[in-house]
Amino acid sequence: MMDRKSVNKEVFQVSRWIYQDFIGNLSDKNREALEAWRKAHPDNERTYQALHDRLRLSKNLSQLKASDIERPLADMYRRIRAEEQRQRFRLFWQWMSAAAMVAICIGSFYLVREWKRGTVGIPETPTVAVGEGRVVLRLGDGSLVGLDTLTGSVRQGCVEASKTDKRRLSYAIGNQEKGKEDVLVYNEVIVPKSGSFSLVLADGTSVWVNAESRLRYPVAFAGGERKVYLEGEAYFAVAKDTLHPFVVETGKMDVAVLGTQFNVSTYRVDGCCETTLVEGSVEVRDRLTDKRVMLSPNEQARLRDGNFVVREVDARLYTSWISGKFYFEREPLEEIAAQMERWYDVSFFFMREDLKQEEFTGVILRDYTLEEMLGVIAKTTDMEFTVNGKAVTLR
Amino acid sequence: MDARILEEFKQGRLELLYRHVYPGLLLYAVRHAGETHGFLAEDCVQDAIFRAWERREHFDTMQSLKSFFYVSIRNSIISLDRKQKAKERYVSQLEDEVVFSNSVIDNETQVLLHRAIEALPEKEREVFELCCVEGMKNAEAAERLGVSESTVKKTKAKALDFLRERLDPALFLFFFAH
Repeated sequence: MMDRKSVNKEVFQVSRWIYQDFIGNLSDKNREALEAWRKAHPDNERTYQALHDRLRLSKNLSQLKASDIERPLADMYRRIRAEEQRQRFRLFWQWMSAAAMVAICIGSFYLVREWKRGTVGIPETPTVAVGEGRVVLRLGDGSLVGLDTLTGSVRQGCVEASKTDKRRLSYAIGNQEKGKEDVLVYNEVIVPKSGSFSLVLADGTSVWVNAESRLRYPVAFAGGERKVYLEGEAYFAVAKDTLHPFVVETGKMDVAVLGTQFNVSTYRVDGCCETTLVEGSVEVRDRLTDKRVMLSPNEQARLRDGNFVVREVDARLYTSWISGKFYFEREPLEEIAAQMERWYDVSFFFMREDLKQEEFTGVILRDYTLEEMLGVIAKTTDMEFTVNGKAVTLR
Repeated sequence: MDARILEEFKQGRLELLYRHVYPGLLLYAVRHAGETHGFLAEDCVQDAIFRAWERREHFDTMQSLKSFFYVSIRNSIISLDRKQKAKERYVSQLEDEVVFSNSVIDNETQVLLHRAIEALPEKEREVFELCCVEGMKNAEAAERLGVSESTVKKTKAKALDFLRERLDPALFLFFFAH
């Protein structure tokens, strides 16, 4: 009949009846009900009698009259204000965490989607493609030509540059006015990540420009030196011309040659500039201090902090990229990752710091997919990889 | 009046509640907390009101609110007693449902009487208190007040008429509905 959560409604009725009895306003029907209640339980009758204890009643009523309500009321208002403030604060944080949850949900939705694309290889989302970035040629007047889509040739003055291959541009100087141009017109080949391109310059020198690199060169050489400017990595097979030395300028290092084949790279992770000689001879020069070093075939000069380090290397390791191979010999994963990042246009994340120094040796074809490539490396190293879109995680 | 107290309480205005309901709750808590916990009676009441305020949307009638107050105070007193392991007579009795119901009936009746007295004009109130509450005979009251017995008789009749007319119509409806 009575649960612990509330007081029975009968209670309020009975107290009303007793009160009505006090003021002589109890109906006959209700009087009967009150009588029945008094008989229902001995405690009911006791309660009824206690209410008619005049002394007790007047004592209690005077207590009711005397109770101070101002202080407890003020206390309660303070307590409620404090609670309201706490609730506002909590609401704020609930809102914030709700917003964060939404962000996380959306984020993981895309992550999962990306992850699925990256590893499962849903048909419409192919695995990371082998270097096919857009290669751009900047002409002397600043206009840009897309070399991937170029068909035919570009003419600048008496020089004609023509696509001789899908990834090759050749310069040829016309018959007249040969060597008479005083003002050099420069072109620049800009190779993005995932790209590579080769050129035959006006003097017959072949240049392979690696991914994420740019080479600036005159469309026709003039004067004493044949000078080109390089950022990134390129392989040069310089046409012999003892009267006109060929000079490659990079940010820190110049390479002067007569006729030879060599590789110049400025994009090592550790900040070194590197020249590797395959054939002939080159002089490497620190632009800042004018220090010079002569290299013999299969020697490599590294410029770091104003000092040259020359060591003997297998030149194939550093020039393999032009023949479409990655050639690694005891190469730390960190350096390999840097090359992959350029070739596949991805980003590597090392979950273990020591993994960066893990070494790998081997030859891998550059037209492997990223997963195939990583699979080969993972076979011989203590490394596991996951590919999420353009993010490669190594652990 | 009850409807207004409830409405204002739900809006966070507590003046009416404290004037008309709080004294009864305090009386109840003081009487049932017993000697050992008497000083905690006020805390019990304040906690009950605060808890009710926290869930103020749930109360549709003044009865449901009062019911919550009484149950809440009773639970506080019982747990106080259990904590202190004292065997106060009233407290242990409060755990009995009949005793609890009757304790509320007792208290509510007195609250109604108190409210009636408060509502009466001064003269009528004096007579009502002496005759109806303290149980004096008309002659005794007349002597105490220094008026004639017939004046007491008339004033008493006036007071009772006043109270009968002022019965809460909402409560009448409630009675007939059940």
